[in-house]
Amino acid sequence: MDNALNARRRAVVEEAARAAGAVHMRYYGQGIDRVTKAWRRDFVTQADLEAQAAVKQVIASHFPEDVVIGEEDDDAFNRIAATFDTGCWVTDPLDGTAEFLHTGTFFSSVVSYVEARVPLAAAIHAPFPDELYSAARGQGASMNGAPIRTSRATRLDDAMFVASYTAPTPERAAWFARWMEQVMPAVGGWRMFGSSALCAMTVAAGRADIYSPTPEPATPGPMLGPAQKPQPWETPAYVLIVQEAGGAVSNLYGGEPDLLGFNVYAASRELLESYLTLGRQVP
Amino acid sequence: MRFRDDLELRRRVAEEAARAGGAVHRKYRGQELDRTIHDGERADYATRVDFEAQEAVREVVAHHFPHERVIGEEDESFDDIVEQMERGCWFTDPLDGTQEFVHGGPGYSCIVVYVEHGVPQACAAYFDSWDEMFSAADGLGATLNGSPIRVSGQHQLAGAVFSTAYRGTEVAKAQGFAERFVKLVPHVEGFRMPGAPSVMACGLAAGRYDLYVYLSARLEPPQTRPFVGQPWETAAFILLVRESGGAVQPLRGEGDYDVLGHNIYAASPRLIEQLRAVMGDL
Repeated sequence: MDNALNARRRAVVEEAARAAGAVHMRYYGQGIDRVTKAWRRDFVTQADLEAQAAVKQVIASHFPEDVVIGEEDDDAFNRIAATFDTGCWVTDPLDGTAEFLHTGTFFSSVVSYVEARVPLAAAIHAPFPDELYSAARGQGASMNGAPIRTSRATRLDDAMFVASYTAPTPERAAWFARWMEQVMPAVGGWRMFGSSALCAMTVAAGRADIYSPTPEPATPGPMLGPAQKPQPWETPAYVLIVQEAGGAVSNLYGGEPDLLGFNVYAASRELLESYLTLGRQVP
Repeated sequence: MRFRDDLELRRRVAEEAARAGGAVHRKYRGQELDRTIHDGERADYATRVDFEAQEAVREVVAHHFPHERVIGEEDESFDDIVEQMERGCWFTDPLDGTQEFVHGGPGYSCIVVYVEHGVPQACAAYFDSWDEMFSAADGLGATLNGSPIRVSGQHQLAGAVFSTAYRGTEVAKAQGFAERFVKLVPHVEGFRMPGAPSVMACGLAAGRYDLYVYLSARLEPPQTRPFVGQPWETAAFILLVRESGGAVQPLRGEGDYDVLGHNIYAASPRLIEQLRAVMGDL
């Protein structure tokens, strides 16, 4: 592994994530029109497109030969599996679009570099309140330049649990509620934010102890199933930053982290295991 | 209503006191937090911060209004609370978001509010981690760090971001919460549980959320006091939301709002109507 190169990549993803954040703040609170397609509750805005262009421009100025794939690109998902092997930059230029449109504070830009299916450098910038999270493989994680560590939590009943909910159908809502009934009484606290990136970063920064995304009913496993909508643009960044902060990450069944889909992020392996055991008991 | 100058003064005192409480929060973050979590002394730690922040608030209020009473959650008796609120008294929640604080999260604040004739008159909530000072005075508007704030103005439930909080380990309570969640989510745009109550109330006043109400509100008063609510935070929330153009309604019963009970806070009255239509009995 080329540590110097990854450190350089880290500086580039930081610069790119900040550039996207600067675009967000130009648009923030201006009541911008909701342009182009709308996947119910998931808006694509002009700010989104412009932030993506800003990210690409920064990367091109440092690594002009490299491939950059953004969530807003056409056929982005089809290209990503192959390029995760050969090496590429991925970006979700605006995570938490609904939060952004509603002038909330939990939105961010996400940029990472992946090669041989391993995330090597990643950055997440939250303009509110100007927090820049980043990591390079084997070089630790930081927030605004200061090292961050996950909490020391090991017990589920004392853990601050972060859930994210994006289910657009009543069936999914019902499933989510059943899962919630099971998990809520077993944990020490419950939070739901409007950006999955910041859900993961609260765990990385030791502000909460475990984050699990929306589970699914139609599933090969007993409880958690394939994600409704894959998120390869942001997931590598969450995985790398949480791992480099000392946390444990697995896919929804306890296996190796899934860079294309959803994972559970925890302060410790022990905590992660207790959660997965509990989650499997959902009827 | 009080004279404008007096209200402005009380608002400034509330701000100064809330900031003094915030300074105590800051002092206890960091190293100390790490140690207390490790040693399992969270409760002691929170009590110490709570107590010291309350003393800091009291000191500031006493400096400006030496003869006025400051009532906090940790007080022992609330028997004469209605009389106090009529005559004029200060409330403080020196650390709103204890759970958030002890878990290392940023969403906690110090709240200070003055109530007279049963009406919230001036208040402040200070978030140390974000350096955000929310304040309001009756008829004089609400501000965030000195700039006027407004609610979103959202009046369609389908486009609204709903915020709430949950605490507890009882299975039945979680089931009740989950039931109401399933009933509500198909009708709203977003569902958030961001932290302490003041995160939601202040966020609503600033247009970040559109609705704030508990889905598992306590119906019976706790043993320690003769009312179900938390006036040390509620009085401030009512004032902040109304002064930023929002709507407040008691969760149950009559009147414009209920300082001693639970309320629904919203960006517009129409949102409350639609919420009640969808949810029935909250």
